[in-house]
Amino acid sequence: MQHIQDKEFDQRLRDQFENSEIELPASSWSDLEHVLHLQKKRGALYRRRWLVAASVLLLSSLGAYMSYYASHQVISKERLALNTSTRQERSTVVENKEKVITERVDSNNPDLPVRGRISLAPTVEVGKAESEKSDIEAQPVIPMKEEIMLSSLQPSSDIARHVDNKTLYKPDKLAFLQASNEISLETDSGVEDADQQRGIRNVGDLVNYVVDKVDKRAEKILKFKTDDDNSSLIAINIGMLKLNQKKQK
Amino acid sequence: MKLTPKLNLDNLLEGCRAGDRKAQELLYKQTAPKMMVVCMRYARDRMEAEDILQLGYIKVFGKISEFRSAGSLEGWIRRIMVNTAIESYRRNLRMMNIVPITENEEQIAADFDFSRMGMQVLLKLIQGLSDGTRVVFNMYVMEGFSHQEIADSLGISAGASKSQLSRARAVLKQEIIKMEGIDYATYTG
Repeated sequence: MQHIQDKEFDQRLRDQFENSEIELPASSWSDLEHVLHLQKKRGALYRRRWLVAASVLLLSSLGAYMSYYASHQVISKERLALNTSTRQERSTVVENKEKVITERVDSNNPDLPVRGRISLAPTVEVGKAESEKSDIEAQPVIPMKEEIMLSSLQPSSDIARHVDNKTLYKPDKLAFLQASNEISLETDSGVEDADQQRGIRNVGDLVNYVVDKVDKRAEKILKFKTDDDNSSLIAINIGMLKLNQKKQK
Repeated sequence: MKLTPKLNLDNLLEGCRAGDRKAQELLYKQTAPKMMVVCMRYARDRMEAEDILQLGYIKVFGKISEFRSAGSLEGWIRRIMVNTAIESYRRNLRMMNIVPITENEEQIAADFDFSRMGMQVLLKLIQGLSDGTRVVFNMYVMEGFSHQEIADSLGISAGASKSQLSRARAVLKQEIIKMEGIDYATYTG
């Protein structure tokens, strides 16, 4: 009698199955093909759903960004309006004070310059105060702290008496340069402010802004005309398809 | 003129990678009958085996770009079939009857003449095993997994895997003896 060991039993079983085959029904492949086709379709649908979801997410993000930006713009406009009105009020105060000072100085000593005016326009002399007032009005108003401005405008007769006439008559070049620089800087920043205030007013502006960051070519992939509050597509550049605005002569 | 199998498989592989349906069909028809045997060993019946086969080939065609030509394509497909069968077993684990394993099964010592038994008969015997026992038996005997690997894969202990295997052998031997009769198996005890 021969005892069969586990290993041998296993090996015999393995040998029985080696290279064995089972015939499959003819419909086997067509069934699988159908499933593969459905899977492919489902995959395309799945991808499309993802695309739609991503688009919705992108649009909602853009919407949120735009509303955030718009609210900030409103706040900045309100601030600007507030600043402008404050400046106008201040300039009125300055004009009134200057009038008073000029009158006082004129009556006391017409040869002395007005110190208060030096801070604004250092080259202005007492005698020419009235004549150059119009020039000062034309210049942008420098925001100053109320107390500093008032103290600088106070005509102190004691100080005026003790001040050396020579130093007063010499135009303070440094002060003039500083003042003129301040004025020019104020003017430049004013222009920049105006540009920024224009900002992103509509979807066209936003798309132009984003495309400008992404597409560095001269002919952008998309370009919107945003002169007025509405926007309209004026240029497309997608490889073969190229539509551009006619260059204005 | 018939092409050599190797060249044929290489061509099919390229076609399948490109998603060519005709190449997929040829590969399927060339390999599926062998893979069906694998699936039949793991499944309870032919219907379940066909489901496993279909799922397996969906994976094969989906992952064929990952196949490195260094190994055998048939071996790679077979591995996918085995993994699919194990996944199917794990998925259906809750629905399965857990057959209590009694340790120290009576050892049947007999000489079996397998050559006189058909593969279909052996398949029937294997399919007659309880689900857990069948999977462990296939993984250990047919695929060559270790008990620890089986334990990790099925979420059981290595001891349980050994018990299931022992049970599977005992049941199979008993069934073979019953089917073949005294003519094909000789009792020793």
